[in-house]
Amino acid sequence: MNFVALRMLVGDRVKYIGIIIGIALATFLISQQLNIFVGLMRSTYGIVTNISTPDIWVTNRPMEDVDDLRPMSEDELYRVKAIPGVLWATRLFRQDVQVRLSNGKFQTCLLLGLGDQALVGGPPKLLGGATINALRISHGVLVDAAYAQDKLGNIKPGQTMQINGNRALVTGLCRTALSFQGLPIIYTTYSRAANWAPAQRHQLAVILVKARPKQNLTTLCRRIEHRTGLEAYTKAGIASKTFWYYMKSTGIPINFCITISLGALVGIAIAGQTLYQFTHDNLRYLGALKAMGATDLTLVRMVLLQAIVTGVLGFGIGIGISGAANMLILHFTPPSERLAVFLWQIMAVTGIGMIFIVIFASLFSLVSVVKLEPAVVFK
Amino acid sequence: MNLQQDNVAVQCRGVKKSFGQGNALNHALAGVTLDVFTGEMLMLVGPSGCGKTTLLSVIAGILNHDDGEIHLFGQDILALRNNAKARFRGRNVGFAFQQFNLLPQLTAVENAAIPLLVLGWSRRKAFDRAGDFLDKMGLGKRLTSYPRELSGGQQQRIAFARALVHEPKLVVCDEPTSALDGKTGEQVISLLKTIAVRPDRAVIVVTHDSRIFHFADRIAHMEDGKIIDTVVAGTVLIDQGNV
Repeated sequence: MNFVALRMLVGDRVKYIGIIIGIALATFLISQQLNIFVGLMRSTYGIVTNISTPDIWVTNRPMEDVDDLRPMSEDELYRVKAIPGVLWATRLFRQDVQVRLSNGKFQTCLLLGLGDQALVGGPPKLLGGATINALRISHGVLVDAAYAQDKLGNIKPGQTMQINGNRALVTGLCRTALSFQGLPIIYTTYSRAANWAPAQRHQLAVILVKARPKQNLTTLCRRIEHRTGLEAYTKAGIASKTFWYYMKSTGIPINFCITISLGALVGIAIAGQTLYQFTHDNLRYLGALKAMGATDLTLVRMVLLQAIVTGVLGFGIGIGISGAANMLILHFTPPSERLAVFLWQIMAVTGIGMIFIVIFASLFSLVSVVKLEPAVVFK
Repeated sequence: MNLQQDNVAVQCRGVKKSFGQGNALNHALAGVTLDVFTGEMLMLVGPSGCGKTTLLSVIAGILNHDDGEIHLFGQDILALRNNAKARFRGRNVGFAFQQFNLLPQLTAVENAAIPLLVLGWSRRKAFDRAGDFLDKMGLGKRLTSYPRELSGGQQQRIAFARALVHEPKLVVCDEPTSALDGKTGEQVISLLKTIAVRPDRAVIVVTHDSRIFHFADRIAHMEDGKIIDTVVAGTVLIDQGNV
């Protein structure tokens, strides 16, 4: 009877297309909002992504999110280095600074200072053949290529800018993950960063730790916290803590939740109403099938098959439109503002959501089919 | 025609069916007793609202009666649960409806094959069988036509093919000629009589159309939910106390 169900569905083109459009629209709305939401939330821990290599981040207490750090005494570095299980530990400077560009404009940037000797924790990707040693050049800084183009006056290697009145020479370009605040990231050495940034009582924002081989990272974090009174997180741990801080302390999730729910409602309203109308219009024929021996289960399977087929087609079209929209966004948005992502996980979540929407949309149809008296055929 | 007890296809005893409640209570069937035999075409006739279609529905097992007994080839259909009853109908009953109820999205052969598909036949076998039946009905060249492309008479012939394609023991037809002009009505009922009536099958036709009465082997007259008499082709026969 699957054949009959599909022929009934495809034969009524207006409703068939109507159901698919409803589901495609809902898929597009939901996946697009999820793309932006996930991109935005990933940016909250962008700095963690942008500092490569170390296993553990040690910060002053209390730490709510990675963009709001309380600097600590330099002595803490040596206390951490002395803890068993620590292979090495190094400093990270982090502070917002005013940068004066060659065109006279000012731009607030995030200045990251890496430990002078090893320069550990540099950007995840360096461009144009540059190496981290480019920071060893006097006044050298590395800047993100996308931000350099969009927010730093299209500055290029070899050109200079002023950080808090100090000359900084761009010695290389890199690619970093977007930060939630949208500030251009500038890498330099720790000592240089500490000299350039406005003075504070303490300047050590983070101690980056590499654990000894086979050392359990969670155990080492607990040990560091126990011995120093500081807070220690694995890379995933600090990203997660920052992520949940934004989830719980900002209106971002609830607002996205509302828009995603609206997308789902649109899908349920259009697909559900059209699917119900389709079933309702065919009740006479479904009654005839019931009279001719089709069981309730057979008719339920027919309606579900119709719903699933339209659901899969609508989902495919909706995801396709979403992907195309993302490509357009990538094409027309400056790289430094490209928050939206397009992940398979989002497609999977949207797909699961659409299954629920289609099932929910089918419920009214299923009820009317099960309650249908076959004697309706003689009325 | 031999109306023997062992030829009984349908046995109704004191069948009652009511609709509504209180002042709106309507006794559609007020104690019907009737036997329908294999090898005959029985026509149920009577004024509108006398209960013909209700009786046809309870006999065919698509409507539950309130009281009394109905045995279809020995099976008490009220004793069957819904799904078992549906399967019983699928195997044993063929339906032809007043408005044909052909699925507009399916071709003639696909429509005619539906009872076989319900029974789980493969599409190829079902379409072959349905094609043969349509050929017998004179629609061999219209197998792939959609109902909207066919005349009323042709649609009714597809409906008959659908009612017969799975070789049911009982065929029920509700006003099969009401949507057709007189000449076409006579043609299709003649065709039905020729193809459907067999020694092992009973055919029940509900109709208002006096022009087709002469095709019946027996005519049962209904009034106010009861069968008032049963007439055998050209004679008058009072059947089992249904006066």
